[in-house]
Amino acid sequence: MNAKKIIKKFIFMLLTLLLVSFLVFLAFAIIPGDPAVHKLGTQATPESLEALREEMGLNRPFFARYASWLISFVKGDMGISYSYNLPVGSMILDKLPITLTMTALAFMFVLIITFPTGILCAKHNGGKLDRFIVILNQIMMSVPSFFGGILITIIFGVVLKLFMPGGYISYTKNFTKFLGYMCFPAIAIAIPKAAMSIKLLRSSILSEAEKDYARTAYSHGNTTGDVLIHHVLQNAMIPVVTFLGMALADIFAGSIIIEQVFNIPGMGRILLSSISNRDYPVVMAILVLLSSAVIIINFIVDIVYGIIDPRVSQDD
Amino acid sequence: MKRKLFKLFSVVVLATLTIALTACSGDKETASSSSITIGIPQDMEDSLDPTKAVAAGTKEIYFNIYEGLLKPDENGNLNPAIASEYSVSDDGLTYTFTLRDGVKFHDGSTVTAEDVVYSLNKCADAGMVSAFSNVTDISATDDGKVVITLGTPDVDFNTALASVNASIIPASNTDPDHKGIGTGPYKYVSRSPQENFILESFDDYWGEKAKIKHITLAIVANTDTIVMNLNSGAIDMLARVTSAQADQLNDNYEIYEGTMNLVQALYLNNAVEPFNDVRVRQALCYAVDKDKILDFVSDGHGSKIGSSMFPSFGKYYVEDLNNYYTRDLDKAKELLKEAGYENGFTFTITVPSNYTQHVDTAQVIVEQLKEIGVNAEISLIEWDSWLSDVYSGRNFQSTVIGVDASTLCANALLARFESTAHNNFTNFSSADYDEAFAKANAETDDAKRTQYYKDCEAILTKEAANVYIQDIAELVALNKKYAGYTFYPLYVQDFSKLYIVE
Amino acid sequence: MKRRKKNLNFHIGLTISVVMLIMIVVGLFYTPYNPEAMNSALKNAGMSLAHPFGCDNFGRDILSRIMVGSRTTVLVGLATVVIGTFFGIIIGAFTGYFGGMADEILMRIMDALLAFPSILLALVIIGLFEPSTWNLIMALGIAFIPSFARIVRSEFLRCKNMDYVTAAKLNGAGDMRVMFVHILPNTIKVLSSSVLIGFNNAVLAEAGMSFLGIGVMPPDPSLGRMMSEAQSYIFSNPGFAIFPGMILILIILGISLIGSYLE
Repeated sequence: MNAKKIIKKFIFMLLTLLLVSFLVFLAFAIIPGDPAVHKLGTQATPESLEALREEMGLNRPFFARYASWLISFVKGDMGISYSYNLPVGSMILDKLPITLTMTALAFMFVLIITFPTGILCAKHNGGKLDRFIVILNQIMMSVPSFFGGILITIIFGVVLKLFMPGGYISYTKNFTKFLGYMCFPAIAIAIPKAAMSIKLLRSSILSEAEKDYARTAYSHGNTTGDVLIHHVLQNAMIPVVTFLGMALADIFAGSIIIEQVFNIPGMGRILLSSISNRDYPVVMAILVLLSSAVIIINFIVDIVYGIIDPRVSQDD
Repeated sequence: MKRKLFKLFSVVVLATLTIALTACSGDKETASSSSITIGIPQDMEDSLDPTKAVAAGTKEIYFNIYEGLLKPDENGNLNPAIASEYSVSDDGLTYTFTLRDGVKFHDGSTVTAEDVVYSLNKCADAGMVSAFSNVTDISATDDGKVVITLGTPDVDFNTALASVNASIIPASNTDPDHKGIGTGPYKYVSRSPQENFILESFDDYWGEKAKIKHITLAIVANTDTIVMNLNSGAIDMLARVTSAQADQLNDNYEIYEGTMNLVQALYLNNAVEPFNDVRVRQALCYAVDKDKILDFVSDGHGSKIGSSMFPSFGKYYVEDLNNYYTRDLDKAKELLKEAGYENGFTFTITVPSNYTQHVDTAQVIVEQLKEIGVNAEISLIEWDSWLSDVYSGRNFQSTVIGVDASTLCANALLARFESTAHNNFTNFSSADYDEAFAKANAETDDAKRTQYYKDCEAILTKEAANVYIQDIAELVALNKKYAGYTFYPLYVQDFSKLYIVE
Repeated sequence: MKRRKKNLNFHIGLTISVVMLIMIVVGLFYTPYNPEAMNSALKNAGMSLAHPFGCDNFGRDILSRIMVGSRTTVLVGLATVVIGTFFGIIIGAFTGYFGGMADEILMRIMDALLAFPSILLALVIIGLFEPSTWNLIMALGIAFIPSFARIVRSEFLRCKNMDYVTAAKLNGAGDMRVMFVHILPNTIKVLSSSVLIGFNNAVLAEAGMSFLGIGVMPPDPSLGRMMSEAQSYIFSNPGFAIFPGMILILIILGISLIGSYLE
């Protein structure tokens, strides 16, 4: 992967980001609903509505509005919430650390669970442990995260009393307790993703181990352990890394629903209430931010993928 | 390499476990911290300005932060608050208020007549209190008194002054929407949208000071998690739990029972089909079985009502109206046939999703209406949307909600049915009603006035303005560490009376 | 060893899926009780012979509600997959086969759409229009198209230069014929596992939406909504939450086992 290719991909990423912002803005411009009416209420006089529209710049041509929205957005001004009359940016910034923490914790759990298990299974391929894990995997992959959350609440919260269901503690009050509480929803999200990546890692390792270079390494007298880790693992990790990168977006989406189960005031709750309350500035901002995050992450994964495996041809 | 990986792995696992286990130790309440976390079903409206507050859920909390010239107590009496005394002229048109000495705002400044005039004018402009449309002048006198002049005599005007919308705020506050300054026993500290609303006791309060220093109002918009939140100790109190939820609570909780003082009904939009036909509305009244609803929704607690009035308003309440419509499916079907809906019809019930009682009631109604061939579909929406779409926009067919009386007079529950009333969200219109209501307002003799109000209620029932159901039982779950919950005959929450049990 | 295990997966998956299908089809004509009949005597009743899964807070039979609720869930999954596959094949086939400017532009748009997690897209669309099963299907269908189109496209890219295609062209076959009669059938195997994954994602999304309260409206039964309502009764009637969850898991598991065989 050379610099030229990286730059090309970078430009494509920017184009995609632009396209996403355009699509979001377009979608919300088409939807029926007049922001001026929303602000002043249905009882307002036509004159005051028109005056407000002028002030909000709603009568300008479409591209002018899009451009000014985009420019402000990039500078950090994401508009004012209809429901709360507060700057959208500060509302989101408030909740962002919570969602980020949960995502990061979930991701960490996925990693912790996946690698040892996947490697172990591949090493003892066909053994009792391997077969058990494979079956367990299939089941775990099918557990929706919110149901997992309910089960975790019942088992660890109600029965074992390891945590207070609904007892969310703000990170400003007590950071360690906050982290501790967030572990549980993180586990709920992590389980189905971990199951999928274990499966992927295991089969990836096994198929790599069949390849010629691995067999050659064996025949040169390397122990099974060394061969496995040094050569095979590195190559086998590649599809898993790609999968995990894509899974990040799903983890984020899953966190929205999980927040309801664990009473967490994160971005999910704000998003849900803004959608229901037609608080368009907030919805637009979250959509653009979320999808930008996904695009950027995919870009990074793409680059890393290219660096790890120079054999991969850079198509598309 | 393998060893290193293993070590790294075990370190990470240990770290994670340690973090997870620290979550196990619960938060121990120390006597000196004096705080309480109270769950509320919806967030406050965006503005902290009490004169603009619409939702009962907002006003019941603002009751602790803001006060008016007069204030209600738990027995329904109107007591002087910011005013120390007042007098009414013989013709009933002039009210003179003497202000209490040394009442302080939360920012330390003293309340003056100018502040009162400013606030009450703001209230009149906001239009939330209908009695204020009758006010012709509000001014301060040279000796610091406040004089309010009415256009026509209004015997109940003093109740309007006790409404949260008529609270006194400082004229010096240039941003009342975002800075909340009042005179009440609690002051506003901060809020986090959809998460919490923080209050702290006000040490310079003129009256009996609050006992608990910090109050965190935690927004529990997801009704399904209320039981979990209570049992886990995440919140210490929640007013208005359902009886089913109360049954699930563990021994840490004491359940107090009162009434919500709400008129809960299946409110029908009289301006749209098919509810513009009185026969259709009456058919629904005959089809709904109130006893069953009370049974499912609150295990039989609560009181049935037949019109827009609830039992706490003793003298205005007409119990007979409850039995005007007894369940009669044949009669219902006959009425539908007369109105041209022999094969029934389909309609939507729009319900705010954060109120379990209303959602549950709607579900039971859907079942009951099936028996007369009417198909109701439920549409759950968020509270804010309900306020804007249903209440303000009147863009709905029917809804299940509880309407409160913001002031201690019959007017509060009946004014909205006058055809030109600005809050007539059900679009009810009846010449008879308007006439009876006008007579009631003009009447100064209490007995006759009461009778006119009762006539109004009877008209509402006969015209089946809505399908009236119940005044819901209010069950308050309060952790046994605390006590002092006091029921009011109004939809308010009084936090100042709560205290920690030693 | 692997072959035998794979076959086992397939058989188990097929069995589970068929059992679920039977439950749903039977539910079309008959349920042990009326899923919406309320019965105050049976509020939160536990498991019993008369009610194998117990009753919910309104005394409604949970088994009957599950039978009807699964129907909606599966229907949404199927409809989503049909929409996504239909448009995905068209878009993927044309861009993969012909390439060019249209390909570049369309793929950029697909990438942009792919950036939205499907649940998010569904949330927004439903939130802005109104919660209804049809809107949910449209939203999820649209969300499924890009990933499916990409897969179809790369398959077509791969196959268009193969021998059998060249041979067909030499025999005078037109482009459309080549695309849909020759190439497409050869891609079915690869596509089917994606279709199954898409189905599962749609099922999960529907359950999630109903759980959040913006999918199927009460009192219509829905697996997701039942789980949401059950949270209030976890302490006294855990079956209320667990049984719908288990059935949801089984539906997804059945399909994913079949899918893993196809890979």
